[in-house]
Amino acid sequence: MLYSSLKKRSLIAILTIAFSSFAFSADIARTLRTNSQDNNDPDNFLEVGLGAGAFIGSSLKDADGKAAGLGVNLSASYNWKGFFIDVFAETGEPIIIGYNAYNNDVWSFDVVLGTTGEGVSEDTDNRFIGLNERESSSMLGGRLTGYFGENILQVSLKHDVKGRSKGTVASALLGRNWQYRNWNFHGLVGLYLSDAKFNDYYLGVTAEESAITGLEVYDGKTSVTFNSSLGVTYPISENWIYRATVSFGSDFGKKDSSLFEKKRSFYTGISNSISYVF
Amino acid sequence: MILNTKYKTFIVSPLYFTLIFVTLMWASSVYSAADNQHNIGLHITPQRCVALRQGQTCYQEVTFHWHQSQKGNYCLVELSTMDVLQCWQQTQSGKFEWDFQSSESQDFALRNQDKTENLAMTNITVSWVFKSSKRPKSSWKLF
Repeated sequence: MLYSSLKKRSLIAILTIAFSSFAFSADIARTLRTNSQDNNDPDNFLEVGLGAGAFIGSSLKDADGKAAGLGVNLSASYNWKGFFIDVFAETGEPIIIGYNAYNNDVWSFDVVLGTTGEGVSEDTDNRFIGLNERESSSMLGGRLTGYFGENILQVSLKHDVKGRSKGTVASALLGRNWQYRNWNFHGLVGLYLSDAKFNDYYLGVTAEESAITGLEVYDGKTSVTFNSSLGVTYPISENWIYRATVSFGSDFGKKDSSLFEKKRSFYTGISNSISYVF
Repeated sequence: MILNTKYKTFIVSPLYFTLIFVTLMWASSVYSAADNQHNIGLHITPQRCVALRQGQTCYQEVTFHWHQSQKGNYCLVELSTMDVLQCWQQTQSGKFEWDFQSSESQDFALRNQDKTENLAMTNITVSWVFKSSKRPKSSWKLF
């Protein structure tokens, strides 16, 4: 079996790979998966599932940049009078709190506050002992979503208001869904921009850190990465769904950091899961 | 070690039990299917179609079985549109395979040809995983 030849990986890496559904190209992924159209969104939900995934790409810890594994996934969304909170709901950040400030039949605008995952720390790998810990950022901004039949366009702009990175990120996503009998397919392509401050906080290595860790000095630069995914969702019953996703994207502008043990220009991954929807 | 007959019987018996159980289950399913076909009435299998999202078209290959006490000319009718799906001539029972495609549950009836009285009825229920609600159309909102 494919997985048996791969090394055992950290739980965090496995969970990220198998169950975040490759969140780099997310945000509108859930809307696409549920085949929503014309600015319809699913109501509140809670999902618990079991999945498997495999990934090849750049890695902070592993020399070969490959990972595979099984794990449990959880995602939820709660909406109340325009306010919403999404937890691991196929969004770029693990948790997003937002408010739907405007919408009509075509356009919708949300004010969103999301937290990024934490960056590297001494606990991540022995190579990082002596490195200043990178903490999560609180990204406040807006996202504008346009619904054009089966196509969805979303642009977003967020700034770190917690002040740790003082960075800004932006994204432009274009997705489409289509249905073949009860199989719901979706395709998604996106461009993600992270400014130099954001990348420098998470991926930069100062001269002081370099002197302690031996890692090469690196100044974060503005990066633009390409991300894409192709997925299918099938309703097994009223409460059970099956999902499969193949993802592909680039790591240009980020992989050059000396924090990466394995540098790859592109990543690719596949994930499968069966989830119970409450 | 050689087992005596008593122990052999004891050890082998789970195998016999499994065989008997599987046979009974198979016989039960065959009887049940036959029973469905010969009961007076109209039956559909499967009777439920599950879509991913509310409002989405649901697809399901279904099979209708019907049986009546007397031979006659019968038709299978979809009741919301009154479309005639299939008719049979001078027969007492019938089977019809159909590709169900609808976003809503549908009722079906067996009728005497050219008559409106429903001799037997059944339905296909459409359900979904994710409820979908239309966001209200509005302008800019203040907190």
